[in-house]
Amino acid sequence: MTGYIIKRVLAAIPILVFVGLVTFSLVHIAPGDAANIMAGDYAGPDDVKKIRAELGLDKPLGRQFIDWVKRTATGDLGRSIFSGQSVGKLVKQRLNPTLSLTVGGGLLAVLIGIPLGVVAAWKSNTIVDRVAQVFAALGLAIPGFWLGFILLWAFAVNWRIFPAIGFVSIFDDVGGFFRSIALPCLLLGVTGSAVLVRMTRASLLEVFREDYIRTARAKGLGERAVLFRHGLRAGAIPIITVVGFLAAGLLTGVVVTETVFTIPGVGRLVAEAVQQRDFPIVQSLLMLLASVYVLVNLLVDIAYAYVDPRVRL
Amino acid sequence: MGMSGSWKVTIVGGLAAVALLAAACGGEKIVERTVVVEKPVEVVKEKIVEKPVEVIKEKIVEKTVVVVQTATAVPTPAAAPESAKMGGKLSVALAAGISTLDVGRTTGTTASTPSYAVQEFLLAYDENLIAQPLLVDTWSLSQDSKKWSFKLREGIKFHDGTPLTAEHAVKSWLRWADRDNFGNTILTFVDKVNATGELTFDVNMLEPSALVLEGMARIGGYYPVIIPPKMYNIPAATGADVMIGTGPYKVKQYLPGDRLTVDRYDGYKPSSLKASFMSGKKVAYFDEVAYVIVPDQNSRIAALKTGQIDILDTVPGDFYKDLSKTAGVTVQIITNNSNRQGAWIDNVDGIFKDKRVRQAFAMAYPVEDALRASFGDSQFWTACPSMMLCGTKWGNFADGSQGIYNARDVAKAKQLVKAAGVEGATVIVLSPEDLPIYANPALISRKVLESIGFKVDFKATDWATQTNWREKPELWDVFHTAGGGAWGANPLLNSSLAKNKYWNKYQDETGRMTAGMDKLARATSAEQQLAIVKEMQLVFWEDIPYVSFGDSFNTAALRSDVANSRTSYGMPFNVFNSWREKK
Repeated sequence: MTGYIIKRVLAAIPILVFVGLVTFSLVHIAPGDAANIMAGDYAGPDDVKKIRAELGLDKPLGRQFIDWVKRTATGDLGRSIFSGQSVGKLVKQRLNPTLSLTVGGGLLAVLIGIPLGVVAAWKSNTIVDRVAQVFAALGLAIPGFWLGFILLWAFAVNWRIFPAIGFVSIFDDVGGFFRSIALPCLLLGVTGSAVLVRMTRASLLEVFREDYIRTARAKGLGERAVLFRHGLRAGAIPIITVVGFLAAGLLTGVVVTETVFTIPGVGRLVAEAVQQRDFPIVQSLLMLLASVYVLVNLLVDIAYAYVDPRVRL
Repeated sequence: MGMSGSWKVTIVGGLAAVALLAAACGGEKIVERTVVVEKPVEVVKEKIVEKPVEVIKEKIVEKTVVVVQTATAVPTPAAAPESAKMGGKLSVALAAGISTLDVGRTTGTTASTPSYAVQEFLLAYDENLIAQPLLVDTWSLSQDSKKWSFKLREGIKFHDGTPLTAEHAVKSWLRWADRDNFGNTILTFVDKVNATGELTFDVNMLEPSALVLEGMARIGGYYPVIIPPKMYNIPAATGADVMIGTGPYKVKQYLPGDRLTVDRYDGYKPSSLKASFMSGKKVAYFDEVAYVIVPDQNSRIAALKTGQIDILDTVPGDFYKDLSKTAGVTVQIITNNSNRQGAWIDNVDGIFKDKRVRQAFAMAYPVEDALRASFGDSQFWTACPSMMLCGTKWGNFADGSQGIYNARDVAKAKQLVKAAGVEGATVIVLSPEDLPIYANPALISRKVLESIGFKVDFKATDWATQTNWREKPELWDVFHTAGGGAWGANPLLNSSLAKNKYWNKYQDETGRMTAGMDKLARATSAEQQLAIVKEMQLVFWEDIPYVSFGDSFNTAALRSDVANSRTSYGMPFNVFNSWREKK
């Protein structure tokens, strides 16, 4: 098992190097730079030129790349062009809201998605199955921002149950914390659970057609035992894969959620940095998110090996 | 015709202040004059207060008077009534994150909104856009008009406890002047600026100019705020990571990406002058003001409706009707804070280098279509044939615009294009799809250009890309943007009218516009200034540095119980001298 993990970790390194190269290139190929945004719309060519020189954006791209690699290799994520603050500090300041939403939304997605998928498969071709499938289809089809605004208008503006904007830290006010993350988590949970419902249902339906399930029933096992002891365990691998991607997807998907509900998290930091062409933030966060994806993939692979020993062979 | 007493006082007071400024900006001939005003106008060092009539004796120097004044008056803030509530919290929405706390670093930041409550200028504009003393107590001008001497008010301390001294004032102001375009212009008149005492400093001039006063009260561009050493010792290009000032509110907490909160500064020492726009006495009624960053406009509207936000400085036209009907919310269409909309054209690198082609584009343009496409109902905009923003002092005449502005004369435009020999040429129009107010008129421009004989290469992009493409002449011929505040009210501050200063690269081949600016900077009276601007407007409609559409108004929304907070001339809503009405 240890050898397997080491192999997987080593395989992740070239992926991260490749992602770094692509990230840097994409960020610099995109037209527009921070000097133009910083200067404001009243500024003319001379003003922009001056600011570009101040920021070092007039240096050759190769030189900028080498500087960036050197910094990143030593764990220095650089400084925001606009605020001058270190990217590490900015991320740290915004991690609490993002993690709260990711964990809350992820839990809700799993708690809704897997049981609903199981029930749908178990009661396939019944009204329960149809309802679950409609829920999943809507969850996939409805754009997150649209659903977010519907939730906002219904629960915050009309019924005044939850706040329309803002985040309260759990360390400041526990009640306020749950109220502030309720709607964003509901949005993430509903949209995230849609894939889980479909995947769980499909995976279990396939398992239910296997010979060993028929054998289990033939030997007189109860339906509950067939489902939980034989069906769910065998159908777990695809579900684990989806849960893994869901976790990573939630982390990147919070960009929309944080914007709609005005949560000051990492997602909004990315969105603002892209709009302002704040390269150090964009580069570092893209690298960070790519690393999270790689890490989640790694964990999923390890989970495979744990659930199915054939993978380790 | 009846005129209310307060307006009469305002006008007479304004005239007196102009006269006093004139006195302060003297030239060659020195005469003694007596200025009579009906009410104390406390803008001079020497005054005898004998209500109801005040007599001010001051040396008035004729010639070389430069008073850059613009715009019509804004309503005088009302005095706080019984219902005014001391205390409570106020929330102001910011549409974008605060990218730096140092307003000397960039103009492209929402930090200028909280800065208005936290930091102060040496002089500040009153409702007639006349510079009045704020941190300065008095000033005088030498007989040869080449030395300004200023004295600061006593006992003022920055929020970090540092006493305000002349050295801090000089270093802060020079930091601003070095950074700001207008400041650069002023420095060409200045020999040196030096502290002469704890609270006194001199500005020694190479040649007489009153632009110094305007530079101390400058709005639009960078703010000439007075800051402590902890801030001014850090180069403006780097930017300080704190916001410290002398204003009625001090920064309490800054949570990047979320909010900046200010609370009342107990050590605040207000001016004794009557509150008027940015000048005079400031009172911090609220205990705390939070500037909350809410990037999404739907979320901002939702937060206003629920009362989580009290002030929303911009409301899209689509929401106007909905918000107007919302209980507890007041919507304002602000007509003295407009923006000039237009199509900016490359005067140098493409077909528009020929003046006839620029004229053709302008005379074929249906400006109302463009304004309607951007802002909808006509209550949100006005067509305006003036070079400067309509409603401002120099924006109420149509001289030179006849036959060009909104003429919709496609036939004549075609003839001009033909005469220029560019019929059938390709014109590149940029359209920033993330900003419909500029993307929608791009469609009108496309139609107009095609109608007068051009092929159009329509490039849909985003705003950030457009700002970058503007630097490359081969990538564009036309883009759409807007300008407001001092830029739109004063030709001296309008970079699009200056030779080669802005992306339109106006060339002023005849030199008449540049000469006009030079004359305007040295004009000796309001009448002369007006005549010069009228001449410049004739040049504007002949040269067409850019195609001017008209003015869009800003729409704002506030919770109805927030009193006396308003926005004028591109400045943020004031949170000082504002209160929440008692329920």
